[in-house]
Amino acid sequence: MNEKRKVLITGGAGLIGSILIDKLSDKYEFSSLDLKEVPGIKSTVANLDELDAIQPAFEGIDTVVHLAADRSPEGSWESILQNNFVATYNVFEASKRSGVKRVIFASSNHAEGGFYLDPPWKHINEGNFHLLERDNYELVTERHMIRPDSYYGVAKAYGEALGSYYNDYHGVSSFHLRIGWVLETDDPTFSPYALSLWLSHRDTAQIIDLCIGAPESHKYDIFNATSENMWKIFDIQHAKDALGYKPEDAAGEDFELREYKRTT
Amino acid sequence: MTDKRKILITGGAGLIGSLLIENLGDKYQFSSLDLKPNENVPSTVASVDDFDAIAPAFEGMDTVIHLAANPSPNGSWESNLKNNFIATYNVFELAKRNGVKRVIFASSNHAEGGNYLVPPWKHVNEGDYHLLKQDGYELVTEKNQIRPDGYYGVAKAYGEALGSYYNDYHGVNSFHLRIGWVIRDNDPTVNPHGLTLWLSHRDLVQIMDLCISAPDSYKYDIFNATSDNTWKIFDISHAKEALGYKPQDRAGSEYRSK
Repeated sequence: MNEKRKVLITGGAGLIGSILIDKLSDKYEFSSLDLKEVPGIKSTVANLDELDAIQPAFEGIDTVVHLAADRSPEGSWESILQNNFVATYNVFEASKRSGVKRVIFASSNHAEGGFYLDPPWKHINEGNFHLLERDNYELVTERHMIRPDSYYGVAKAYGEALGSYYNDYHGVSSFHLRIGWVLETDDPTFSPYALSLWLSHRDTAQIIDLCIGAPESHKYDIFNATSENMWKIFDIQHAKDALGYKPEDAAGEDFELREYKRTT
Repeated sequence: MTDKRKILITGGAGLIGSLLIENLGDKYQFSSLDLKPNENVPSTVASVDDFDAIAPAFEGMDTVIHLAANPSPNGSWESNLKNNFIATYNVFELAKRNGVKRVIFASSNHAEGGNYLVPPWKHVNEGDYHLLKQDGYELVTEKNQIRPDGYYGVAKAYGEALGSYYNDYHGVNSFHLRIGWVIRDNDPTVNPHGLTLWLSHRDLVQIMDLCISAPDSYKYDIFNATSDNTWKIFDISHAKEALGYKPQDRAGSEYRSK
């Protein structure tokens, strides 16, 4: 019998980390690296901007899922520098030093969020669906030029570039998921933006599972990651073709504008 | 008579900065920000990672040419973090605060240097020209995915992304030149890497001049920047078409060593 793959989740106590641990623990042996403990899971409590403090958490790990960050798209330069730039370097460097085979990086739609300024994506973002013909407008693919909407988005683009370098020169394979929006309520009907970007909990678990299980010969890639939503901004065809992603959820077009607030 | 455009060059005392000041000093009013003065122009002597110390140099500027960096493709993470990541943020943020209209960023071929690991570019980089048909292989364009070969190259890709953000959200337009290799003695025959990446002194001056004077309506772009070398890795047709770049120099096939 094969032993379970050892997977370290940075940000294991957060929303996406909790979803993974909830849905995939039968398949993988998870541990967590976060500012707080995850009950029932081997946890290292440390700040990712300290390489020496986090290094032990990487020992013996096969795969790292790197979620920890200042997750605010409005985060200040100072916070993003520390929690996203330096922290992501530390994760790749610690992975290299401990012989981790693959890092899966939670990149973001915000690496391409500048496109929301222009039609046709502006219309979707603002809910003006009547200005568009469904399935008959251009989508943003992974081949579009980088166009971030914030320091947060710049840091995500940087993480993808850093991951390419560690794959080519240090043997740490890396997959980069430009995650749309994972919602605590798993209900995207509060804004057109959420309808377009929604990545449901089970689709989150599926696509990260596919990234963990992809063959070692698949070294580096970038994937847009949303559910099969009706009014897309991002093309998810590449994840379907290259990973076998089959989204199970699809947001429609009805929304009632409400404020979205996280409880955690 | 119109006033000359006011241009701050970060790294104005370095090789590229000195070439620009020497060749374009009649056309533009240059100043320099560097660790040492450029004796030919008004100079601020400060480290670009020191936000408060460099802030006054940006006052009244129309254009900033951002060259200052740890220029080693093999620089450490710590040095790149300070001199390339933080410094480039400082430059864009100060450009925004001072109403600078355009930043021209010296990006680099190293943002795409990972491509040298694989054919056909590996063959070009190693001088194995007999394995290729001239003009009969794929070139790396500005649309290829980012593939850096070091922290330096990662920092260049980051600078391009940061510049896109400042253009879209803060009205600082930005041009990014993926510069091949500007060589002090202007002789690329040193090795095949030099032959493919060479950006001659006068071609450098020309493409920078074109970026400075491109219309205000032209907001953001990335350009590969080499001379019209025989054995290319990078496609320079975008700079030719979009900027009107007409390289005057061309490296050949003969080199001294690998």
